Amino acid sequence: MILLKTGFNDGFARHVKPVYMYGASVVFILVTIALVIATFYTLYIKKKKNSFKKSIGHTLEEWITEVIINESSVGVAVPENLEKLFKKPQARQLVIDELVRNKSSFLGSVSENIINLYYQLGLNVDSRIKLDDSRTHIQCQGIHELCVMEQKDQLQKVYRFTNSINKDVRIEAQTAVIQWYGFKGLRFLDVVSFPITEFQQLKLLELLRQLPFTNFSNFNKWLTSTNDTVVSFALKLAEHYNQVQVHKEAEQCLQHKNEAVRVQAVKTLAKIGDSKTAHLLTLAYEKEKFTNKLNILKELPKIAGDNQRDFLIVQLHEGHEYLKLAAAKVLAKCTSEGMEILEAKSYDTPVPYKDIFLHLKSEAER
Amino acid sequence: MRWDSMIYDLITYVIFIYSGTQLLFYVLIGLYSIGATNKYANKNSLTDYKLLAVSPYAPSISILAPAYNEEANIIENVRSLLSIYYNNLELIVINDGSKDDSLHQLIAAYDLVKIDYFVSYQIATKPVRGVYKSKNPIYKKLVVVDKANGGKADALNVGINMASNDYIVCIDVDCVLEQDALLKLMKPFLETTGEKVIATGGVVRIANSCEIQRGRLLKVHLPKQYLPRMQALEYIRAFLLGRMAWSRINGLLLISGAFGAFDKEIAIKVGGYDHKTVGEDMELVVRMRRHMEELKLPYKVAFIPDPLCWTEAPASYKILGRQRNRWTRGTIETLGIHKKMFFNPRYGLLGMLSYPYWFFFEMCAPGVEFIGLVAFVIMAFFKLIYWPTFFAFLLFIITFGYLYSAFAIYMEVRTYNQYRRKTDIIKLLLTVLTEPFIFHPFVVLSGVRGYIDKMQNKSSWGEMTRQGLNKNARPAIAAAPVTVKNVLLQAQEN
Repeated sequence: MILLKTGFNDGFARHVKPVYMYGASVVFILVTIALVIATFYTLYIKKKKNSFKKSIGHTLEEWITEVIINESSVGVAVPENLEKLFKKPQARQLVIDELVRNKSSFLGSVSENIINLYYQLGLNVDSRIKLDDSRTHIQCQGIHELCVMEQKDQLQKVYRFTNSINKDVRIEAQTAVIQWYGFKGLRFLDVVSFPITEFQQLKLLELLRQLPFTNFSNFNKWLTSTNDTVVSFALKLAEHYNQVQVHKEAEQCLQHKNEAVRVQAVKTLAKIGDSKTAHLLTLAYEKEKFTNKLNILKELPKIAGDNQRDFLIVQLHEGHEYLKLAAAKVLAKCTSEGMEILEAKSYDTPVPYKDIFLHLKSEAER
Repeated sequence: MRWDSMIYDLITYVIFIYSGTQLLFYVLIGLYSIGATNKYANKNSLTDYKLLAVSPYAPSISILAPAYNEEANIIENVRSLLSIYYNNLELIVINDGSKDDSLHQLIAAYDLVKIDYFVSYQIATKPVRGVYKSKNPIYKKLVVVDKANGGKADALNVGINMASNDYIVCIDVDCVLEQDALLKLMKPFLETTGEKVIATGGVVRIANSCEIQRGRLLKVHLPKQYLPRMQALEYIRAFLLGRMAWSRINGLLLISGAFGAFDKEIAIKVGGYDHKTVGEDMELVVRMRRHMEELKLPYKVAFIPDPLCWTEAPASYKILGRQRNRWTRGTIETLGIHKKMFFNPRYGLLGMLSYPYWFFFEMCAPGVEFIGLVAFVIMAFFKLIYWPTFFAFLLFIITFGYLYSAFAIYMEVRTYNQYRRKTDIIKLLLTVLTEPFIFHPFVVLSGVRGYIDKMQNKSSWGEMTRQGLNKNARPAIAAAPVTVKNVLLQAQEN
């Protein structure tokens, strides 16, 4: 072998000579030294950036305090050191970051004055330029800044991004449109062809929750969209805003090919349903897989009554133990004599019904 | 060419291909992790995690915290977990037949009463002796389960059976979580539309020497002792480089048992944790992946580079040796159970790349290195070593190791920068210099002991004595009221 004094005709040793290894080691050592230097340089830069950020933060804080005292930015001079910094793009970005952060923390006239300062310093141009950047995270940053700084004149450009091929850009653009135009902004749902992730749906719902409800313009179209995530989101909106008028469309979603849509349809119908909804859900139950079966049983307590007793008794005997427990819960809560039925069952067939009965009894007592 | 010369050449080539491939993997892992970490940072810089905590549409989570003889810290640890700010949450503490006073302390501190509870044994476990809930509505999220001792995997399986929510988060009860750890861990489940995320994991960091009070991390410090410091570096390399790179190509085989989230339905379908192996965390991930591959369902195991969870690392050679011994046995057992996947194209990347990598470079590495060391000693004794070549190769491999560690430290500073003082970085770099001579040989030796114990069919975990992280921890009669942590209002003070 290469390491041995064998005197063999060592083919490998002819190709891999010690000098190559020493050469490679020298390269490794040099790269290691470069990395160590880069590490300390990065530490230094981060520290510098941090203290710079702190000083900008402090300056802005003083400026905002003055604006609050004067109730207007008129007559309050733009901080001198901010203007000086504007030759460096990184410094400009730090100022934008600080303004965006402060804007999110204030309302009313202070908030308006922060926007004015953003204009005065020409930072809106920086944000706009970012929209044309080829890097998507820069585009996102630009949209976010324009959104927080209420630059609604950029709607046309930002609106195009609501159906961007890039998920992150799409998310920021959709968020901006809703922030600016509230429920009217939802019109991007008419055309969006890419999926809206669960996280984005949740984000949009939270944004809308903070706004006064107006109305939905095109609900039926969304509920019949070819984009499953739009249907799912529309169902969530119907649930949250109690849109009983779309009951029929929501009912049709129980037959949707996408399980996630069917799961949400059950939740929505349980909220906006009428006297016949419980029956509909029990019919859908038979065709469903475990996840949505359990979901139906979890939602039924909101709408079930004595009419569902027979269905629930059947479910007590069939399938998974989780389903049995869930069916027993509905039976106990929504039907007259439900607990008595369960008690009788616990004597007839103690395993597992005695434990289920005791579980529900204990739950009722708490 | 003589036949014995050919054999020597053959062995040489095999060893070189092995080493060369391993080094190539390290280079690729390093390069791949850069892209993955950058992408994550860019993608999440604008994320508002608070949304997830307050939204009624956020996924429901059951946190499973198994506890065995944890009386010294159990009240504080549970209090810390109860203070996690998340709307749709239940906390299931599983007392795995502790011999100490853990259960009674919990009962007294949290006003618990035994209740009738229907336990569905979807996954076979040791029997549940009792289920407790609090009379105090403040603790309504808390469920305490008392069961016969059956080990961590069995305790977690009881938790899975009891969990009423859609996702389970398995956690070591003595871990310290970052304020927004749960939110960050759950986000990947909500982000995909085409493929199902079946599990997520995050970076685990070393908490030794950090300032921790009442289950909260106050200030990060580099561990003062040598072994924990060395492990701090090792964890940076493993999590920030290794796992990030593997997750980028969806080839991750392991999510740390200290903190990971799983899709409950899939976890139950595959039968939960395997209590026969000491590497139950890795085994569950591999089994869930295998299940998805066999059903040909699109899926992903996600990993996030944010430091989410802080844990105490072994500070003595004895405890560290036991831990590494167990890790080796766990890897052997897991790969043994799933040997069908080895270079099996049916399992795609999992069978053709992830599994072989773990087999050759995680499982076999201690053995190969140990055999090399023994061979070296024998050859040296018989004066068969050609020293110039030997030193050239030794220098090559040591400098490559330094390069890789320096890169890991650079990435850490560039991204999360947990150790911000220059002196900390200098200490870390000096620690790197000692690794090939002190820490690495010890880890290899512990791995070899793991092989021997496996051959002798030893299946014990080995006692993992810890010094404790909570400075103010003491058994309390009553728990202090829980203050819900607002993830956005309380910035980490480091």
